This record gives sequence, structure tokens and C-alpha cells, in this order.
Amino acid sequence: MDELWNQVLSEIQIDVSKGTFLMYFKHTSLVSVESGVATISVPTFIIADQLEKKYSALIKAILDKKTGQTTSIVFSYSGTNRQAKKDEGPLFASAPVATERVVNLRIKSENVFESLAVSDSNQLAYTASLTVADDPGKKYNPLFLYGTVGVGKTHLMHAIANRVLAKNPRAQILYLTTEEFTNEVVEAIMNKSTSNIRKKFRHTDLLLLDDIQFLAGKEKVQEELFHTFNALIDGGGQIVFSSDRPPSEIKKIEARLASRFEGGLTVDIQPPDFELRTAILLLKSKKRNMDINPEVAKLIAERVENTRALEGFLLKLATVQLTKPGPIQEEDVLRLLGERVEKDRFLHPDMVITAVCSFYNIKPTQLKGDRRDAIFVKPRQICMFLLKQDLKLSFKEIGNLLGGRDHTTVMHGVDKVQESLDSEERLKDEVGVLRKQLAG
Amino acid sequence: MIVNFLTENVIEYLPLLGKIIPSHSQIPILSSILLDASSSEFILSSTDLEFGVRVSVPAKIEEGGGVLVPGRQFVEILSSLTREKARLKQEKDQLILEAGSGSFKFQALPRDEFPRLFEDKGEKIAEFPASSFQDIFSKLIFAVSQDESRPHLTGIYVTKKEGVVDYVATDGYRLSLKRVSGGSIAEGTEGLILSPRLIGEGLGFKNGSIGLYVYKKGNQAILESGGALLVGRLIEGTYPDYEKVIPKELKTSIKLDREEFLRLLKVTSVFARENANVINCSIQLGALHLHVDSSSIGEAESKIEGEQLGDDNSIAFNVKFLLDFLRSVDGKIITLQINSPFEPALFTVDNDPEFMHVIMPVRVQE
Repeated sequence: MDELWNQVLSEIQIDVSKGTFLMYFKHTSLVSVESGVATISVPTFIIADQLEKKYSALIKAILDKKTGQTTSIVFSYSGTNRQAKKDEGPLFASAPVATERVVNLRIKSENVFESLAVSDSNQLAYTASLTVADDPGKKYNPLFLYGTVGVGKTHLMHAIANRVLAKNPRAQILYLTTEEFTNEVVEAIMNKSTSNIRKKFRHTDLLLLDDIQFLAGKEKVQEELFHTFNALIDGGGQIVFSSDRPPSEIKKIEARLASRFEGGLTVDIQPPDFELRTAILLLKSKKRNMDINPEVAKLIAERVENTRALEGFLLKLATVQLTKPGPIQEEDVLRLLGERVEKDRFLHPDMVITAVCSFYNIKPTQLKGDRRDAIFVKPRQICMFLLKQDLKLSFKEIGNLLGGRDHTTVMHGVDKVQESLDSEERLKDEVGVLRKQLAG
Repeated sequence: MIVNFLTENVIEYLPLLGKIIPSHSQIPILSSILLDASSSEFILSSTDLEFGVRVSVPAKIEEGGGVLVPGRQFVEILSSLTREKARLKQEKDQLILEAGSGSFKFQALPRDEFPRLFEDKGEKIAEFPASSFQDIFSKLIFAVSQDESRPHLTGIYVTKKEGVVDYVATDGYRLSLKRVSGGSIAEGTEGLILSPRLIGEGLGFKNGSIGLYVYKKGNQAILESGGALLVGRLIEGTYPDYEKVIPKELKTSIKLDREEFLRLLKVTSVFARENANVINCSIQLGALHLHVDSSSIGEAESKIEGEQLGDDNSIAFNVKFLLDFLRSVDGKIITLQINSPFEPALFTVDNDPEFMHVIMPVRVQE
């Protein structure tokens, strides 16, 4: 069209005065030529009127010549014919959807309250989280969730965030691991921009900090958190912490910060019991469209205690199902479960001894030796316990391994550890860590 | 053509007529004024092909006819006459103006050459008392875009919704909205974008009432007041969704004395000019603190007490936008509301609850 019109215009230029051309023809363009009708776009009626009265014959003649058809002319209006820019300016770019929302995209949208299996072990945490999500900043502030790995702390945190967002799409939500928070603080200190951090967090409606136990010993970070904490709460924001232990057990934490942690509601989440594990299995398998009947689920829940391991096991089953479509068979499950135990069997007693020794900082000779000092007895008994429980060796075998001791001595040692485990948190932790180390 | 009239009847329209005449036109016709006497009216007209003025002057017409005379000179001479009687008489290719002050002969051209300004006045959309017209449009006109690459933003948007009429002007950086409830505007008036020139000239009418007409077929809008008719064009395009730009949640608000604010801004703007016109504002302790750091020249700090509600907050603006707004309204107290340094801020004035102004802040790296 432009080509054609330019040709027409150059001919017209010859026939009219320069002034006329500039005034009347300059901002015209040819929109279309269809079925014998040429539509010419002009800026205003005044120009269109003049063109029509004085020059339509001329235009028509030239157009006819160029197109080889008989054309009649109509006019349309389009201002100065310039293509409008697509973006309307920063004011419109800022409109709700595209705002500078302080939302961390790592909050998984599938982690919602509805997708969490609830039982006694996490009922309180669940209810508290729901309460906080429905009325952030007003009820339990801060909310401190603690529990070992895989009990659902992060799931709950995400659920709170998702629920708050659903109710208030413009809520400013920040989800960070303590490590990330630490990095930010360190950077801010280096750049002398700590006030920025406070500003950033102060306008947050909901702050979720994961694994707060990693603050232990980090003075500057703790200080920053203290100030941020206050600013946020003052501004009506809600804070949620997660940790692997209660506030009182986090070492090397400033007293004033610890008291802040405990100033709201502190809830523990226990590892899921058998029923809950079964429920979780059924929930998760349903999500994966896997056909698991309750009996099979119970079978698995009996043997697999850890939620992460449950997930992993389901994955294995899924693979099986690829080759054997249809409902999951008991025998397959048993086989897979057996394989898990098999793996444990590959643990050599010496590995246990080495692990225990390095943990308690004694030598294997000392562990196997005669000395009855407490520093040797404790690790020795723990070693006995592990060899019995996890490797399922006989008392006699263990006695032989640990310096030729009597099987009754070993029995006594194992019992002692078993009893103490129930009452001593610390021991439980230590055994837990050792087992983790041995699991590899 | 022979016409008798009183200069005082034409004098108020002369500036308008004169303004339209393009100073360096390639077409002699356009530098002329049309004088047209029919049986009923004596008309003076000028145009630049985009915009047109047609003035009807009370006169005693002895003989009808029409003629084109050199516009600039004719207007200037008429303006210089005292309150007196004047007589126009065409003699062959000359037009003679006779008045007490003297006799002036102008070279005349046939009237047929002159462009027609409109073929139909169109549908009457609204009638504004001049004061209402002022009140509405003076707060909008400064906010339109000057950027031709976004032509639809160069105009003033008028649309009727349920129970209200919205008048909007924006350039993508700031936006004015006048929302008139009731608003006696014709049904079905939707999405009109009026040429800013038309509105600008319309603001020159201080008395009486102003009628707004729209002729869709000719893509024109016409303002009529007294004997004058202003002919402008409608602007094509789809106007952006301005509703969503108006902030709904606001964490902080502060009421300030407008004149005081304007005064302090003018002072601080001296430094702001050297700092890309950016002025930092922070609201705390019941006051608005202004701060400009223009490293090469110096630093300015100022404070204005006000009534603060909500959190402390801070934001940075282009000082020009603030000044434009403060000058366009005349109330005593203005209210500034902010949500965050990154979101549009809302300005309102106490003497006009129907008016809102939104300004996009400047993002400042600290």
C-alpha cells in the first residue's frame, strides 16, 4: 500500500502547488484498495472535505492508472497515521499483576493445607498454622515450628504462604532459608546497606524463615534478625520460624532473640506414627495416580518410618508399575522392602566401631579395651546397641568383636542404652546422627 | 457584501481567530480569514486544517456575500479599534473596513477557496456551565501526553459508565481522573478521546455555557459557547484501562497545606533540576520531609508538617509532576497517599472529592 501511495503522491506533487501538497497530502496514507474502493486515511474532516471537493478526480485518475482498475475513493480518519507504541508508560506497567511483589517463587503451590495428612503428631502445628494463615500478624506471632527432618515443617510454611496469598494477592511474602538470610545480612554489612534490609523486611506482611537453628553462633546475623523482627512485628507483619529443635535448645543464641522466638507459639511436630504414615502413603500415591490398596500401604508404613523414605519408596514402586501395570502386588512390595533391609546388611561391624570411635573421639583399642571409665563405657555400650539393633548380630558375636566380652555384659549394655534413649534427648540425637552417618 | 457591526461584539473572539492562523502557511488561503454574511448571520472563520474557529457576530447586514482577507492584519487592526461602529464593504477585489479610527482596504480573495470546517455539528453530548468546564478540564489538560507515538494518550478521555462520567488524562507517568456522578452527558457516550487543543481553547471561555457536540462521521468534536464554535478532531485509539492504575490499598497518608507544599517544592526544585528532577520524600513523625541530593551543586532539605495517618513511608517523584498537580488545583489541603516506594501514589484535594491524581514514583537506587 505504501509503495503504491508513494507513487501516487509523487505524481500528484507534479500537478499541485508545493503548498497545497504539503498541507493536504502530507499526512495521508492509503489504507486499502478492495473491490474497487480505495480507502485513504487523513487526519481530519477538514482535509478530507477539501481533498474530496478539489482533488478526488485527480487522485482517482492516478490511482486508476496505477492499479489498472476503476476505483472510487473514500476517506477514513486516523490522526497522524503513526503507529502507536505498544507500551503505555510506567504507570500502566505497574498495575497489579506485574507489580514488584516480594514473593519468593520457591513457595510450592502444591503445598497447601488440604494436601497435608494430619494426625496427633502434627495436629497442633496444623491448627496453629491455619490460624496464622487466616489472620496473619494477629494470633500467634511468631509461630515457631520445630521437629526433625521430613515431618512437614516446610510444607506447613508453604501452606501458610499460599493461603495468605490466596486471600490477599498483593500480600508481600518472603520465604527464606536461614542460610539465605545470613548471606543477605553478610552482603549488606559489606556494602554498608543494612538499613536496606530492614526496609525490605519491614514492609513484609509475612516472613517465613526455615532452619533457624543455623543462626547458632552468628552474632551479627542474630542482631540483624532481632531488629528486623521488631520492625516487622511493629508493622503488623507475621513471622513463622522452623527449626529442628525448640528455641531453648538452639545453642549460642542471644537471650533477647531466644525470648522473641518463644514469645509467640512454639509447637513441635512429631515424626508421623504408623497411622499417619499410612495416610501419607495413600495421599501421595493417589497424587501420583498409583493404585495402592490400604493393606499394601500398611505394609509399607510398618517398615518405613521416615517420610522422605516413604516418598522414595513410592518412586521405586512407580518404576515397578511401569513394567507391571495394574494394582501394586504385595509380593513386589515385600521384595522391595526386603531390598532395603539387604542394604543394611552390607554394613560391616568394623564400620560401626569406626564411626562410634571417631564420634566420641576414642581409639578402637580403647573401645575394645578393659577400661571402665565413663568416657569409654558410654561409646562401648552405644556400639553394642547399634550392632545389636541395626546389624542384628548376636550378643555373643558382639561380645567377641568388642574385646572378648561376655554376652551378658553386652545384654546389659544394650538394655542400658535402650532405657537411656527414652529419657535422654541428647543420647537420642547422638544415636540418630550415628545412624545417619552409617546409612551413608 | 455590506455589513455593519459594533467592534465590542467581535473583540473577545479576535485572539482566538488570530491564534489559529498559521504564521507561515504555504497556502495563502489558510492565512486568510473568511468573512461571510448571509441573510441571518455574519461569520468570521479561520482554520489550520486541523482545528477551526467559527464566530457568529451580531450585525446589520445590508448586503450578503463572502470574502477572504489577510487574516493576521485584519485581526490586528480590528483589535486596535476603539469601541465604535464599523462597516465592511466589498468592492471588487477589495474589502474596505470603515470605522471612526479610519478606513482600511484589504486585498480580498473569493470565499470559495476557504475550507469547510464541518458539515454537521453532530450530536449534542453535553452542556457545561463555563465554570464546570473549567473545573473539570483544567485539572486534566496538563496531564496529557505530548508524545505523538502514543497518540491516544495525547487526548482527554470521556466516557459514561453506570451513574458516573469519567474524564481522564494521562501520559503514562501521571494520570488525572475527574469522576462526576450523575453527570448529564448523553447516553451511549463511550470512549471519546477529545483533542487537547480543542479543550485548551475551550478553557478560554470564561462565561456562559459550553456545549459539546460530536460528529462521528467526520471524526469531529465541537465546542460551542455564545457565538463561537470551536471545531476539533476526535483522536483514534483504545484508551488504556485506567481503573487498575488507581491505587486501592494505601499504607500511609498525609494531609498538607497546598500552598506551603507548592512553595517548598519550588524552592527545593532549584536543586532538583540538577538531579534529574528527582525529589525524595519521606513521611514520618507527622511531616513530609523533602530531600534532594544533587552532588555537583549541593543538597536541599525541607520539611512540611502535616497530618499523618498510617506507617512511615518514603517515595521519590519527578518534581515537575508534583508542581503540575499542585498548580492545577486550588483547594487548601491536599492529601498524599502512598503504599510503597514502587507503586503509584494518590493525590486528592479537599475542595474536590471527584478528582484524583495519580503519579508514578521514580525508582531511586540507594
